[in-house]
Amino acid sequence: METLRPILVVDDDPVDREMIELAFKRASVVNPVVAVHGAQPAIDYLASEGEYRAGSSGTLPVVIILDLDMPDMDGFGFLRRVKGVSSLYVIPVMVLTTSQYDGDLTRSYSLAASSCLTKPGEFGRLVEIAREIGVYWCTMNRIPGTT
Amino acid sequence: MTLGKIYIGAWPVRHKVMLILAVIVLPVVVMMMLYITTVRQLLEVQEEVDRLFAVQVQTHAILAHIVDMQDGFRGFVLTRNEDFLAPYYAAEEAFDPAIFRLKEMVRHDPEQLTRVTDIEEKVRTLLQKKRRLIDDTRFGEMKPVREHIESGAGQRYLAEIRVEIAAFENAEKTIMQSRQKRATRLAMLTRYGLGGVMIGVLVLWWLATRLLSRTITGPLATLTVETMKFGQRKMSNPIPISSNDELGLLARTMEQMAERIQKHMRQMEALHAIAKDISTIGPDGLEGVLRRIAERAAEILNVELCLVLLWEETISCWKVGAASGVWHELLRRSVLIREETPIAIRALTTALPQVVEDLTAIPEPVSQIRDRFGAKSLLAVPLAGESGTFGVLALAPITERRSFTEWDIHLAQQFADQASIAILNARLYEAASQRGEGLQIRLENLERYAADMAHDLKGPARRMAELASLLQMDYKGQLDERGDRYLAWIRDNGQQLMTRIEEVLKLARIGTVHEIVEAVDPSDVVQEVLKGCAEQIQRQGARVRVAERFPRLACNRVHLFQVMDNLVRNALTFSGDTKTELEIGVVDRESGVLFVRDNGIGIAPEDQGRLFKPFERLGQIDRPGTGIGLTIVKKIIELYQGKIWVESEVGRGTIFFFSLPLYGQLASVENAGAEVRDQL
Repeated sequence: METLRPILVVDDDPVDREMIELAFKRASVVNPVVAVHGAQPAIDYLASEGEYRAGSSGTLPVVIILDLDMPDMDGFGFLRRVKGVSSLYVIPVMVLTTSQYDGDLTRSYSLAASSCLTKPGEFGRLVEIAREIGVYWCTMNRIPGTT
Repeated sequence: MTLGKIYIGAWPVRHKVMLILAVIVLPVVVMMMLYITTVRQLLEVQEEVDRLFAVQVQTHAILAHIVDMQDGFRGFVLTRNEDFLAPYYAAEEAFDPAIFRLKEMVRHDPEQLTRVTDIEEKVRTLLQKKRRLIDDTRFGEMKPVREHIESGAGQRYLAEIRVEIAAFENAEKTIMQSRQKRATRLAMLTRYGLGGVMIGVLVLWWLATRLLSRTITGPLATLTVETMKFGQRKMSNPIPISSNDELGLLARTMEQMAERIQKHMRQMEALHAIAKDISTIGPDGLEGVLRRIAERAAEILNVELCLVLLWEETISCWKVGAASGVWHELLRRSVLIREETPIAIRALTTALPQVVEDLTAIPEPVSQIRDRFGAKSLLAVPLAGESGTFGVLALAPITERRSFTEWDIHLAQQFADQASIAILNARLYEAASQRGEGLQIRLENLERYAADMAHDLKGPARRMAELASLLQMDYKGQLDERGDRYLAWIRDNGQQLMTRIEEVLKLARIGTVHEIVEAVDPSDVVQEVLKGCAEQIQRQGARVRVAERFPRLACNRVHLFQVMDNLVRNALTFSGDTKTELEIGVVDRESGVLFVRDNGIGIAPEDQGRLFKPFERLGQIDRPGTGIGLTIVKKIIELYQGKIWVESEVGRGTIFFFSLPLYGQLASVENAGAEVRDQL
């Protein structure tokens, strides 16, 4: 069996990062979760993975879970960067944010986010979200270059 | 001809009419005089003929007397009978008066008179001879008698007399004939003359008509036509009347009048165009408007200097708003002192235009406009708005003195009125845009601040709730019952905090984000709301009645949803002890007033005032809700310039009424967003 492609979690808040990781674990999602604390580390990760990928294929994240409000580079900045790179723009990006402002959603979709979700405020709900992502985006959804 | 025309043309109309009448009357008078003369001449000829006839008769009588005398003489000489002498004597006696009468008759004709005298002398000589011979006969001296008879001298003599009489008669006849011929000629002449004169009169009458039409009726018609054309602004200038009489004068006056009126109209048109120009608020704002006013005023009234003086009540002096030409840069934002501008002050205080034709003659010791700018005359017109006079337009010719006409003053005042409106508008606009800009910046800051704060607050609250729920899940049973309860409370409070922050954020965003106004059918929205509350409705067993038809409203669909959702949830939340009844309907289809009625706990009159204030939860702390729902509702309604009000009775229920614009009254909504911004 091939190495499972990881889920990349981009969130500046350590509590959120841990909570999301835990939620994926509870939801029995088998893909490994890679959590980074900001947009720039995420880009670094993707870049090195890309290089790494040249030797060993198929380790690009299966999905990216992205928070919008982050210091230095925010979620939109990240989207702009990632969606401008041909080898990376196929990776689905789930925007998971506290904001319920329509403008943020519109902007996210305009920058080619695949889905937008609201951080629920209840761990149970977060597990549900993780499960759904695990089912749909990690197993059903297809991106080129995978089987 | 031209000279005559000019000469006659200069005559007054009265004289022209007299000339025309004279032209007609004079030939008639001449004709009558001619006629009278002819008749008199004819009468004279007749008289002459009569006289000549009488002369003839008289001549014949005289001849008869001579014959009688001859016969009588002969008879007596031959018979010596005295009886024969009786006719002789009778004839001799009758001869004298007869010849006297004849002489009288030809008294005027010396030639004939000579003839008559000749005849008389001859007859008298004959008679003398006869008388001598008669005497000789009586005395028997027959010898001379015989000699006389035998010589035939008597006979000869008589023959001579006869010849003379015949000559006389012939002369008379000749005269008569010539007289008759003349009379005939005269009569003929009179006949032809009459005809000629008649034709002449006709010709003259025609000429007079022409002259009349040319000098009076023609010009009058032209004037009428031109007056009518003038009404349509198509008058020819000059009017084609060249005479110098009253009509010509009238035409010239009309031309002048038309010219003035046209000039005035042009000025008015220019004024109209200028009014548009000056009232256009460009990027240069109020200053630009003032500048254009100064330039245009100087232009339209043809003066070198125009100052737009704005009265500053706080410092009690003039601020030069703008000046025409090169003065602008020199004077802009400078100040003129009250005491140094007496005429402008008069215009300001009286609110009436002030005219000074000769500025050097004004008694005031100081006048800036005179002393500083060297103005010769001044026209100061007040600039006034609804709240009174706020400035003065000072119009001053510099090169030469000028007497402003009534029209100039009128024009200046008209212009000033337009300028006043333009200035006030520009001021309002400037104030509004400044306020608007400031407000916009403040709002944007506020929004950003609210969003930042909300995010900053919401994150921890959410994490707290999530962590609490995680603890609940993972460590259930490891804490005691109290610990579990506290955990639940932590979770609930965290979640509540989240929702409230979210609501605040929603409230802050209403009106600051441009929402699409569309035609919304409230029925659809109500159904959607009810679907959302279906669970609560079922749980409470609430009975809901919804009007079958609603008027279509002009608003943002989400806004109407928020309003309905809040009101319905409110009604369900504050239900009373009895089974919940809910009614959603329309009060007024014409003005778009909807209502949501419940039979809940009601609101006490003293609480109704606080109802729409944020975070005011009236007594019922135990009931769910953030306390901001009605504030959001009110704000949305007011965004559309609608109204919301409540009728309620404690224990009986509450009705919320609200109005939103009907679809078709969209225009009033266009600026709704801006208005809400202004209210904040």
